[in-house]
Amino acid sequence: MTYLEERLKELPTPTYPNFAFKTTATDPSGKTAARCGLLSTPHGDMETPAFIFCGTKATVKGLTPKQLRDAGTQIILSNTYHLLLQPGSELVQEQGGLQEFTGWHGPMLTDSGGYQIFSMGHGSVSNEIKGKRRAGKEGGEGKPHEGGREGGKDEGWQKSLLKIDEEAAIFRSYVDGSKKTLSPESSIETQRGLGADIILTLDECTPFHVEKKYTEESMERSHRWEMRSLMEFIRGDDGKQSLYGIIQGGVYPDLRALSTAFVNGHAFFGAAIGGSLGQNKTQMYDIVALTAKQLRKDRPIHLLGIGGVRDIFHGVRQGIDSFDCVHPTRIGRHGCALVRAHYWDEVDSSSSSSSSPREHVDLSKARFKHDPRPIDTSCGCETCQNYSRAYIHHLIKANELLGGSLVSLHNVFFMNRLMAAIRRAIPAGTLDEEEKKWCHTSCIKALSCSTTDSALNPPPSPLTPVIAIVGTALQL
Amino acid sequence: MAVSIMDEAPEDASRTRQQKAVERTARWVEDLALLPFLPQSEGGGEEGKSSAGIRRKSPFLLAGIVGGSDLKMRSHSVRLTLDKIALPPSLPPSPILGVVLGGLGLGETAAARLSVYNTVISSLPPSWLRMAVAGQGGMEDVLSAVAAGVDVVACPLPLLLTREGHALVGRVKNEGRKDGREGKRRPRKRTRREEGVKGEEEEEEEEEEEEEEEGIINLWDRKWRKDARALREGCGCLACRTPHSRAYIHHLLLCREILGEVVLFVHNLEWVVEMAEEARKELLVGSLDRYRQFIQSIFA
Repeated sequence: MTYLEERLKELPTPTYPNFAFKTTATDPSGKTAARCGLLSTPHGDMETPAFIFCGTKATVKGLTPKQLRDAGTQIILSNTYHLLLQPGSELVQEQGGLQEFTGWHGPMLTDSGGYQIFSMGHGSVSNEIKGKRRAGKEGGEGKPHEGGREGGKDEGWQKSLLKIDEEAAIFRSYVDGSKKTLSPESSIETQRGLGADIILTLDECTPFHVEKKYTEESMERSHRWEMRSLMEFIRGDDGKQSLYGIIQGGVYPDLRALSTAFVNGHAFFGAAIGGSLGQNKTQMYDIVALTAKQLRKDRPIHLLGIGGVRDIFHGVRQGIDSFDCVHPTRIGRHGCALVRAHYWDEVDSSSSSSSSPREHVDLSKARFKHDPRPIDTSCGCETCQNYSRAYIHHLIKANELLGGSLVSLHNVFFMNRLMAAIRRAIPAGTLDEEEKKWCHTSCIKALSCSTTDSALNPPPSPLTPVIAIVGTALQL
Repeated sequence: MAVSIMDEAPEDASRTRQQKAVERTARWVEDLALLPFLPQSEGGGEEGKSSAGIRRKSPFLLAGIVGGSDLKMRSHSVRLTLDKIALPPSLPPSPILGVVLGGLGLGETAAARLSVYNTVISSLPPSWLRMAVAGQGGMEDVLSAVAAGVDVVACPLPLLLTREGHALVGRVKNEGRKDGREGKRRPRKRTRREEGVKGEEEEEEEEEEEEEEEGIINLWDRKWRKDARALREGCGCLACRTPHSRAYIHHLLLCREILGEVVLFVHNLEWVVEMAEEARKELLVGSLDRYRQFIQSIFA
């Protein structure tokens, strides 16, 4: 690590002349760290807090750029992992970069590909990310991923990750089966070709249910990779892109503190809170809280992969400036529409009240078959202005493209409307009231945010996460 | 508008079968013409009149005409239908607005189809609407139908092309090319081959030039991988206005992305709508046949 730091010191510090971030409003009561800001990029400005939609393979599934814009979208992201496999960054570069290629002539972000190599086929981490909780024997001990294939059952998922070492990650392309390499240098180079305004360093994604030693070593490797990413960024820096550093450290507060200090101390434009954020919401909230507290306030802060409405309110209170998640568009594609609190208080046309308040409703359920109402009468999106629940229900049951697209469009509009409401509520000091409009009170009560101490202590043994959850709950 | 149920027997059906189909179809039209939900049940008199100003609760009917490519059978179908829907003067006039020429695209040749159009249309009351499904043989098929007198063409081509990843990129307007070259298409490859074996270079050149006049392109083809052009120059569809390049659409198809089909369909639909507009214009100045030949040459 010392060697890399020395090398870095020799290089010029990037100044990001075409980018800017400034805070435009804060919580007047001073009780929370919530803030509004303006992030300027070469492709336009973005008001924060903002939500970034996921356009994985250079398209937000089923939606045109015009639809996205009309629904209030400020910024989208694409995944480097998928794009480097198909069509490749050289081609995108020839076509004028992602903004030209996709027709979305606005701010864009790319991730480094680090998350996908882990989520797309690596035993324990892949399962964790996909939400499968198993007493983890795989990956629980030993050094961070080294050597050959990890053993263990993958439940049929094709394991594309072949090898990871200090140098790079080697994996198989799901497009043509060829071997591909992803290193910090190649990731930055690929992201440069893709041309997004904001790019991320390559980091190693650590699962949560691992020992501290493992997490620490993984974090340190991430730091080394991030320094190499920064070096490669500086080498080709032409002012058109900005680099965010990523904070790792798992669920251990001291490691998170170290990682935060690391990102604060290097010449990144912004910071992204990454890594596994814990095994339950409470833990996640605490990690986000303590991390955000220690981050530099003069740089934008991004929270990776979090998109639930409650979670966003929590993040905003900690001072998070932007969020990204596949959630709204993914559930939309499958016919699940995001709804506000008042939805649950309306007289539901069905007799079944077994559906407890949640953040979304599944329009493929039988109770919507004859429902002539729009999803939400207060929503100004194209879907709610023109189409009924019954029609959308029919489209989804008939496997028609339009069903998923209409609900996705509603969800995009919903998220943008949410963020705009949050941006108004922050200077007005009405965040709590605003939250009640978006999350039903029973949803808010169900999750009690703990104060600093409890739940910060990680589970005593990685082999018995079930006991750990119960233990945590009791501490509350 | 609603279309009556038709019994559409295929091209190779026996004469007896076609006869049954014709009689059955005409009977169904008769049943529909007398059904209680049609306007005459609402109290007759003024309300039943099918004039443009009066609102109707039930749809206008298009009577199905069948009979395969047998012209005698087709004439029989028309006569039978006209007889059966002739209602007594005490009842308001029938709600039949026109016909659908059914039972086509089931194996007959284009020429046979044309004869059917002519035979049927010439024996109908001139104020009746004529509808047919056309386009199976390509875009000029649609114009042949129009030339024969069809008013409404149901065309499955935009959807079928989109499903295959194809886009209509040929010129819609029959005017001189902007670069001053002749509007005519270059002679086809067949002729050149007859002239003798050409060097590879020359063939390549010719291939490149021919590309520009293609009517339909297949976006799955690797050759569009780096093509930054929009699908069609001057096209007003959302895809071409954004513009979405051929390279991007190619990428979307390869990724099996939903947006690929969305973009292609929007584009193909626009093409057909523009062609219909052009056809109407050309018809008014009496050059529909020339336009039909032009479209045929684009897609040949």
